Amino acid sequence: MNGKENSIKQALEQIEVPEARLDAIIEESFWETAAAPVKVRRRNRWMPAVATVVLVAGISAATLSAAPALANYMAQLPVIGNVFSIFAENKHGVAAFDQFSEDVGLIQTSNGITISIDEAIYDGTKLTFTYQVASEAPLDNSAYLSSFPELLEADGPTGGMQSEVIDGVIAGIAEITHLDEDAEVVNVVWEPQVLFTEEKAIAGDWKFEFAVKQLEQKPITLDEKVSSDGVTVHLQELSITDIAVNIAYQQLVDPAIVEAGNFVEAELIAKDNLGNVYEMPYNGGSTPGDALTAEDFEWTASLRGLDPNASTLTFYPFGHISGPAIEPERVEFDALQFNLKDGTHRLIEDPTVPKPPPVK
Amino acid sequence: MQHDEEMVAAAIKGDRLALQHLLKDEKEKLYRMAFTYVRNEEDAIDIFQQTVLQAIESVHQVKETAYFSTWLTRICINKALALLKKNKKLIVLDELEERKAPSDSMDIAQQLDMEKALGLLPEKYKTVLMLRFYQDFTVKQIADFMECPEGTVKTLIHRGLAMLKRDLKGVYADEWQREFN
Repeated sequence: MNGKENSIKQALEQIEVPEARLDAIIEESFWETAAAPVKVRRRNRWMPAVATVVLVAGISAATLSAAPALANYMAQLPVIGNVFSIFAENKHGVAAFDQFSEDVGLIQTSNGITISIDEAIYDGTKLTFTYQVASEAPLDNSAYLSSFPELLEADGPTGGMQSEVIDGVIAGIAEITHLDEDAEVVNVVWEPQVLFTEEKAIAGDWKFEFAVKQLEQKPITLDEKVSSDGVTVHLQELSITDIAVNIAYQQLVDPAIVEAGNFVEAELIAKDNLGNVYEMPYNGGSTPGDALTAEDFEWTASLRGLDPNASTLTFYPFGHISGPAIEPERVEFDALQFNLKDGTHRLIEDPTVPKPPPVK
Repeated sequence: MQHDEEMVAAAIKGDRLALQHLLKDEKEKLYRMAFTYVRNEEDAIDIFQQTVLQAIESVHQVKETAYFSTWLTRICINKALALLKKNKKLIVLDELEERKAPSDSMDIAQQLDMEKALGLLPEKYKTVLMLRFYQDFTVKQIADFMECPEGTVKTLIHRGLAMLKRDLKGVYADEWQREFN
């Protein structure tokens, strides 16, 4: 080598790789394909819902008693806090999850690997459960468990999992989107197959089946339409559960906008009378068969962690029109203020749309 | 890239977490190969995304775990070539054969680095050189991959390296020596 020489391998390895963007594409692609056959559009806003979280929770005494070796091991672990405390949007969300989640308390051991399912909750939009994985020897940081859980009520896997190894134990959360406000219960089946680490793969025989009741819903009809720049947001229905405020709405788009090859995405942000601002991530959307345009999506979005002292909640619709031939255009609409005490609502003209809360 | 056989097997059986893990392991190579074809980030990302989506949808079709990397590479290359064709950027092989040698008055060596020179090669040569020297495929694997005789692969490697050598003059040597000396 004379210093000027290079090689194909070296040359290609110098190409800068946008790693974060590629990781996001991979994760997003799994969400998209998992959501089939419902027509779910690619939404970057999905990402916070599946962002990596760090979870550690204490296992209940009853659970631990079933596995003394694990109990001894677990007892040595530092308990950082409630299992939901890391991924919940704010302190109110933590309290709500803590109060209303069901104790699942399932535990199985195979090939020296013990998996426990701790708590679960379903609110008509999303099922969430937490789990832990431990072996008698601490697991290294590369460890993770394979296989997505599924709902018997869904067509194929429709969710994602995130986990992290803390002090030799995998702490994880599974989230499965399933929009069905009429389902009284959902049935979860999870059959992990292999525990992977960088050095080994441990196959095991675990299978969990459990049902989770849906939290009580209080659906309230809104049926309000707000319009701007050829886009109408039809705020259809609000439902309040113990852990979330869910809103169903449809975007109705002037066909001329769609014919020009443009896309429209209407979103919501909310603010309560105490000044708290809440992001409202989408739960997914689809275009009804009788829609006038392909962009007339029906969405549901959820707010979690509502301050229990709030008395009014204002929803601010906004959207973006984008396309290959135009600069993205932001569109804002009249807001809808909902009275949490008496269930009434009113429209607010030309509101100031709040800025999103700072990213945690 | 050698992957854990059990993880690949799990991915083929429908374990989406395993496949996600494998795709993350392969992402850099896939992106860099895509970039070498299209020479811009947005198109390379587009190819990468299409590759990931097809991998998710058709991983169950992989017959043997040992073929996983080859299969994924094939998807990526096919997506890249399809995009180039769509954009009418594909350089026909014959055009390359007729490509004029760099002018003597121009010090190409100072203007082209290896990565750019590779990007300027016609697709066939670019593909074979990336498979051989970046993905570390054997000549036989490339022959299987490209569905052509091993002799043809050797010829393509030989010609591809010769073109690089011509374009880069004295600034590279190692692949040439490794392959033929």
